[in-house]
Amino acid sequence: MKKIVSIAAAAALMSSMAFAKEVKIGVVLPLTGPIAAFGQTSKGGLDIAYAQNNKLKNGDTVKLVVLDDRGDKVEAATAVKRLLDKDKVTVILGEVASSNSMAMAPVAEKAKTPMITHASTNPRVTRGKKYVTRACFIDPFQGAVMAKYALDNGMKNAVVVTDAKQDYSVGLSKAFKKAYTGAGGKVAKTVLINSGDKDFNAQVATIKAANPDIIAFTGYYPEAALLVKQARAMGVKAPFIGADGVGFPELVKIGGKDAEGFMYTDHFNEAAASSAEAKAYVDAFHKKYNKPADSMGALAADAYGMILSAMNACIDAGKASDDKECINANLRGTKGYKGITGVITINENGDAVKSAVVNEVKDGKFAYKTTVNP
Amino acid sequence: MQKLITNILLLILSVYLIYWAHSHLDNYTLSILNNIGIFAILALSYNLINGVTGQFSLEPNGFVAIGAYTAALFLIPSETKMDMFALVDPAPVVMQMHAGFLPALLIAGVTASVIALLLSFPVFRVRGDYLAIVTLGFGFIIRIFAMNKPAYTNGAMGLNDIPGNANFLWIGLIAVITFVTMLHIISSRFGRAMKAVRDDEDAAIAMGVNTFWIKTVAFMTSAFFEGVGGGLLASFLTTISPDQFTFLLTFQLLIIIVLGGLGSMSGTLLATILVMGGMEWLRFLDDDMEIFGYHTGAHPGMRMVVFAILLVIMMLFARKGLFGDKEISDTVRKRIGRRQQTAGGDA
Repeated sequence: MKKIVSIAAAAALMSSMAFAKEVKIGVVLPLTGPIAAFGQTSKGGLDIAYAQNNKLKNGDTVKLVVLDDRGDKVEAATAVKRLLDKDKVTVILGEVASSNSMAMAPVAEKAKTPMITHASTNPRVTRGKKYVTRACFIDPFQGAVMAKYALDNGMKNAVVVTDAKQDYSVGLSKAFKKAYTGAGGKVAKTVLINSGDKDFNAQVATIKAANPDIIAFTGYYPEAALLVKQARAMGVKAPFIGADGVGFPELVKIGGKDAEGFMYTDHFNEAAASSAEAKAYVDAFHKKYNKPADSMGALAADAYGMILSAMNACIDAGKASDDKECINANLRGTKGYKGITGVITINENGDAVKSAVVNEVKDGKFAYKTTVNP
Repeated sequence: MQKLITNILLLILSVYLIYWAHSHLDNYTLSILNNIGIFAILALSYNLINGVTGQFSLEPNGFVAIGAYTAALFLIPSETKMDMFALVDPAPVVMQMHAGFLPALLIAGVTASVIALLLSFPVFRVRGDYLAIVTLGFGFIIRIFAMNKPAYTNGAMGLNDIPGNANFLWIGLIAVITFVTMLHIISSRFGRAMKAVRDDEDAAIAMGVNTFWIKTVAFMTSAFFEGVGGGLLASFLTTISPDQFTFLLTFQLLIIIVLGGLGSMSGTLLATILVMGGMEWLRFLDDDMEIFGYHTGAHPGMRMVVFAILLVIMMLFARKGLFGDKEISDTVRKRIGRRQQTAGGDA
């Protein structure tokens, strides 16, 4: 009798222990320092997603361990080691800047711990890594989206503007040309600019002579604003399309009226939120912060959601919710995850294949135009 | 003789401790120790030019960058280089750079040292504040070069997938070697000449010291170890980019050597431990804390505020740094000496 009681007690104890299990997700973000704005907006979205859902299917609770790295590489690498050795986290979420994620990735890879970055778009972050995934698309992917949008709208003759000093721009241009010419478009001319240039008269003359249907601009916003201004002044009428590097308020501030109609691809626009998940997120965001939902926060929320969905899939398969190998396999095998920024599928490199939104400058504001699927 | 035996015993003990730490401690603790080791190498060598020789130079970020990039380019295999250089193809010379870990570190140090030699001709024509400005400019030039010469440095994106050979055995041993070398230098003829230059350059010239030569030797030695430290940093992090080597790096090293005491090597070592470890040990301040049932809420960055306040307090109570310009052995010897004196008096 005594034996049975003690066995029952032990069983009860064990089951209650199993019930109270806590799974930790380590988060590394630049909450202070030069890129703090990105880290803080990411944290804002993450907080919303966490408040909406922090329990797994089997009742396990999820805990976030958030560490600040000051946007510093040395500290980002140390922070990951702290999360692994001291906090014993199961999954790592972060960083924003690709160069910091690159300092973290080898550590996670060595510890065989799944890591997901929500906003590092440089292709090299996941290159050759088995345990690193991302919730955002890579830089060159936007080139393909730009090409698809142009062709879908009957613009078959393009001029590509490349910022020769930015690898972001060079990669984007390459991807645009490949997708554009591959699907029947014609690149009439490639025009080179350099970051920091102010005078684009020579380039604009070349563009005008080529008389394109569309100008694919792959650089950043300061040059975009000046170029569009000078092009319109010289009578170039073709529309501009860029990528997320131009989606900054300065484009409108410097470009003024001439920036009207400038299109660019981006990760997220709350006006494009059509799914129930996205709407719930946007509503909660408005309620808490009283401002439009930004893409950084939405991406962080998606990365968090993908981790939870991978953990739930492990529970369904009869594995523990903190089985790193299982979680990683499910993260890398993510298919058709209905996120806030769109439907996410992870390809064999660990990069997200998902829809992108096209925004347009309208009345001095960034307005949602359409969604382009890969 | 007794001193020599003590020194050798201390050396063996520190090597044993490094080995023990390397094989017993967890990754996180080792990571802090590695950061301390790397920054100790940088700060100790920086102290030689700034503290011992008294030349207010602000160049370390430049030399660390040179060392880091040189070592990284020698360590990264060719296929990775071809894959990594996205903006332009790597320069032919970059493709031919290959070396093992230790040779790569030595080449990094020698490269920094040679550049220091070339730099010393224009730089040491000026003194004091002007020297600070000239060397500051050098740091900027190196960083701009790293940003704008993508065929050599891969531009703003920097280099990654650098083979991570640097573990605590390497870093700890090289830190000990740096420490011993610096102690040796400051107690040598060169070291005394360097201090003479610091205390009164004109008097040193009058006494027949070739001050330009002394300053150049200090500068080159300092650059060598900064280059090696940079190489270790690159290999330890496995990724580097130009934004790591801003003036803030120099500033961090300056805080360390001023806190430790300009000219004191053991002070620098202690200050490195406090500054590099402090940021991690104060991490609990960022988190939500419960004080008498009241939740403070999470305040990222709080640790930096507290850290800065601690720095101010430390500098208020130790105006010349923790150790002034003395070494820890001087203090210990003085204590023991005093005790022996009192003991003798009693008898």
